[in-house]
Amino acid sequence: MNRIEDRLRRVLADVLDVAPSSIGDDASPATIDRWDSLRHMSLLVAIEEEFGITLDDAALDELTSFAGARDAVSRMAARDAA
Amino acid sequence: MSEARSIEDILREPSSTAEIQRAIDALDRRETAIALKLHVLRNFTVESALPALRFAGYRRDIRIDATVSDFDTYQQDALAPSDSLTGADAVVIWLWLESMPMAWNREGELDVEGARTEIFGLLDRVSRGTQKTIYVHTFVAPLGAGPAWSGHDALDALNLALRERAQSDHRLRIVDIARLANDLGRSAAFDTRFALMCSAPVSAALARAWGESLASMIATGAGRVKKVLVVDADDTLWGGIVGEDGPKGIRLSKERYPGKAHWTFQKQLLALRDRGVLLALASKNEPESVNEIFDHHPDCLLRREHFAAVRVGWERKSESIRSMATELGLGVDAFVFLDDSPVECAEVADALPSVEVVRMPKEAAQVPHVLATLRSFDARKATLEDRLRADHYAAERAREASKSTHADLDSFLASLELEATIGPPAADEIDRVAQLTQRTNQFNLTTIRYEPSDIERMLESERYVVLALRVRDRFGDYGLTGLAIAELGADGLEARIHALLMSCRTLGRRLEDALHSDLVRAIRARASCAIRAEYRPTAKNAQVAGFFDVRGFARTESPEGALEGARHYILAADHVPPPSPPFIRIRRTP
Repeated sequence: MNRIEDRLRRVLADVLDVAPSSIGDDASPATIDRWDSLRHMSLLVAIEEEFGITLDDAALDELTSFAGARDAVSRMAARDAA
Repeated sequence: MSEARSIEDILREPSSTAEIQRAIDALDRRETAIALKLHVLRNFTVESALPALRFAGYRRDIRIDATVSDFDTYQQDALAPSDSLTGADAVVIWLWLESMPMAWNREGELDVEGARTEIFGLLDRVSRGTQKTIYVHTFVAPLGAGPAWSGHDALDALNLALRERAQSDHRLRIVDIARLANDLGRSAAFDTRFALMCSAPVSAALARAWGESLASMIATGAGRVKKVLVVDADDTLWGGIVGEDGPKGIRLSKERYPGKAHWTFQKQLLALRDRGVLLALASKNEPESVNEIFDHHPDCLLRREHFAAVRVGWERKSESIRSMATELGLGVDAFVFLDDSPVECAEVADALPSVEVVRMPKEAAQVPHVLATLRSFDARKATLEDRLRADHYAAERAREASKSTHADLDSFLASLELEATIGPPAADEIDRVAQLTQRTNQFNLTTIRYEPSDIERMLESERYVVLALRVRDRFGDYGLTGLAIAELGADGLEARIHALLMSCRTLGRRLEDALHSDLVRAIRARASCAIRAEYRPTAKNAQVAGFFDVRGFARTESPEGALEGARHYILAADHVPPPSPPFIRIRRTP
């Protein structure tokens, strides 16, 4: 779980040009200036590349904050492992 | 968690979207050698692809900023050009066929005539609104169109019409997104989800291929032309290490995998050479073992004479590249370096940042992929000179050998039987003339880059004198290798030399004296006036700093707003230049 969280935080930090330490659970387009619709698209692609997954519609809906992203990725990674 | 990679490593070998974005954000804060603005006329979300273009630009030390039209206003943008369009250094047109209402008839079938009218009309309007280069994209089949889709033939006809137009329109460049997408396969090239969610059909993979392609075209337009491909030998031209595995142990075969991968690679290299790319070899080896392969291996396609320069020994590869650059009379920034060793790649990249470094894959099956995806040699148009160029260097070696048998330079030059043909460029030479202004860095007094359209405009004007120099000698034909441009003032009191340049290939033969003398003569034939000239220093043209000083020109004050460090000159109206050197036979074309 922690590993996923760390990797995800690194991806967000890279794509959104912020320090990893500044990304809390509630980080979202509302709290991070650069998280606009374009960076959001890059973020989705970057997450899929990092974890080797294809986000489904439910995951795409969920992905509106760091916590949401973590839950979606964890769920999909667990499903792929099963 | 692994350590984050450095920006330089990412530039060399980008691995993920996240890394690319991080690199762009870091590079946005740095200086680049060139910065330019594009304006994109589009009807879909191209923004998701733009970071890949910016990244590919940074790989070439070029900052590319882009503005985009609104989805539905690309036509208006062209009709009443916006500031973004008129202020841009180049215009990009990228239309998605599905979002062009004119391209479809009532039955929902692709209507070639409608689409053609729409895109050609747009091109006409943009051409009127700006003098800049226009990069237009080919069209791709709509999402969901399988092999049985009824519109494929019509689509091919549409793209062919675009390509044909580009052949007669010098300002138009084709970005062949259809072929790039084919190369990846449609399912990898397009992202159906983003296409449906936000009209952004271009996948990350296609965006990267596209970015490399367009950035390479832009770099070429800015005079950043790659001319030489340096290859390693072991594990590159063949599999294995000849010094250890022996000539029979290396993997190189016309028939069998994995040797067939390297045979295919050699074939690709020869195809590049046919297009005018110079091949060079930099190998850490004993010369005998490498030559053994070139001379005797039954399936080795490459021969020693295919290489314009060869360094086999134990020097550092960056040193080899440097000395080959001197030998070929080129800058190291014209070089691309290909090697399987990460150590060699890093050494060259660190020592010579302007060299493009490409790593050979370990997996044999991936080997042919390297050159297929390398966009740096997708030259704008292969000219006749390009095709002849590779052979020039072999002839040059013969000239060098001949030189050593001649005691003094003048008798050597006389023995060459030089023939210079000087006159305005013909219509089919315009591409070459523009290319020469973009590629020539060392013997170039002003280093002003011209597009073919600029040359055409000057040829049509009474006020310009444009002289091209074509050279041959008893060893062969060099083609068009020199250019001079002057403008006569409206008042007839003064003329001004805008450009005077010579390709490195023909230096050291006093052909510059012939060109200069003919330029003055041609100006004076129009008006017997004083001639102003300028030397603009660059990192590479120091050798011509004193060109005008020794030819009777007097230094003048620099005018207001002049380029820093530039020297300004005037040649008195009654000054007569010395005649051309006696050993050059001059022919003049009207």
